[in-house]
Amino acid sequence: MVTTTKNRRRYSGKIVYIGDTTGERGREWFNITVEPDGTRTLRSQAEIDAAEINKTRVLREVTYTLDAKWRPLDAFVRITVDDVFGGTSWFRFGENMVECEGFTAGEGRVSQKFPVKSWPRSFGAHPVVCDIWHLGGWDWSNPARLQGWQAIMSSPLPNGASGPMIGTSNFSAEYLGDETVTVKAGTFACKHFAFPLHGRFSPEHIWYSGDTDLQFVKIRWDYSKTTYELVEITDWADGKKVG
Amino acid sequence: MVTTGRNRRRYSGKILYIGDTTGERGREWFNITVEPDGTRTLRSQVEIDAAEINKTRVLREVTYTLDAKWRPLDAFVRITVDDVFGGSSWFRFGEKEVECEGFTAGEGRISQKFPVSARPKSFGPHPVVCDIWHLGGGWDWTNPATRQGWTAIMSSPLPNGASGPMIGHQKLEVDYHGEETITVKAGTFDCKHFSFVNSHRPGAAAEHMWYTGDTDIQFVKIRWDYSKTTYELVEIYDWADGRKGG
Repeated sequence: MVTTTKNRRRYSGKIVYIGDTTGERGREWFNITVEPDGTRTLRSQAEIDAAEINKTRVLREVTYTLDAKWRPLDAFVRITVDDVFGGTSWFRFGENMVECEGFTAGEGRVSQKFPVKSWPRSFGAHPVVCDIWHLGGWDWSNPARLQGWQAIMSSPLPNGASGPMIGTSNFSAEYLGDETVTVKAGTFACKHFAFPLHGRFSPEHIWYSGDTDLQFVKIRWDYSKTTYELVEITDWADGKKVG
Repeated sequence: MVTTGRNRRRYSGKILYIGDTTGERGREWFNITVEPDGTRTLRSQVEIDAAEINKTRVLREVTYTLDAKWRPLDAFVRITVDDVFGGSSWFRFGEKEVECEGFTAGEGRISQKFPVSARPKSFGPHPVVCDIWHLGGGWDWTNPATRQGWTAIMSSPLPNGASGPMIGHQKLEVDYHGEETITVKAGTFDCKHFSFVNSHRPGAAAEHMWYTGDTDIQFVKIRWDYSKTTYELVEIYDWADGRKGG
């Protein structure tokens, strides 16, 4: 008698980070559950090998929960940098405050309380799945194709290999239209966005599929000389993989 | 060029919770990495369906890191109980103190500092993989006694771990019964057989457990009459260069 999974939806998959000259230089696994009230939890593991833009190897664990409106509720981020401890931190988000309790190799014990005027629209915990999920904060009732807001980040570095602790970013995104994109996991009808990144880096182009799940399909970022592609996607039922 | 997977060892698997009358009533996935310095991180997801001993459904996320001597370093535990938020808590373990920062449906925002006289020998965040791992830091093989005990930190005093998560402590008493060969769906394994006496829980039967391997203390099986459940390893994989091996 399996009752739990009839209420809870689950899907999982794998993304490969493909360097222009190195080939596979990282990989990210995700396992996502959606409760009946729309609460969504991501369990992510990202493993980054040495790359062109830096020589740092990163292992990152993220457990991140959002509400039905894609607003961050709480998160755990742990990083291992070049095979040794980097940091372990817990984040909690609210209407008036974001807080972080953690311990990092660089800063020691950190305890942050960051006041906010309203519930943050997005959190960047650095799995590329979460790059896409910033767009859960996109306002489709607003016709503007360029929108922006203040996002909370766990690290200001492109590979997220610092902290983890609270930082902010003036996030902006541009909607470029609908496209059909083929990756190893299949062919998907996608929405195409670009993050301008304000001249610090080249724009990051992203494609996702589906209005319900904002499912990662592909990212191309010239700055990192890397294409991030969905290579596996699996639906689950009753605790077992299907499809 | 894949360099990371050459330094880091990884294995993963799945355990089924098999109720005596219900059949499969829960499942647990684990993915474990071991860094070159012996630091070990478990990522566990546990899904418990309604069962004989209670009617509570639980989803539990655990990320738990231990040092090379199996002593707890830090952990994150998040529980969903009957499909709604139960709690989200972060634990850190030191030589003098265990601390917990969290938010739970029952208690609200919690901030605990629990003094200890030495780094705790074990932590119980409630995946059954971690039931076995109590033995990693707690059992002293230089001591010939076949019954040993120590104080462990727990994230919940409930058998299914569906409270908190927050710091509690529990005196463990463990018996060593010797070596046995055990067959489960994942294969046949040379095991060490232990049991938790569970004297702290009146009326509860002893929890019997079998693990294989001195290096990884690999879960093979648990039998607990109290929960009318057998917990069996059904899948085990070694990984290399980011891919599953046989």
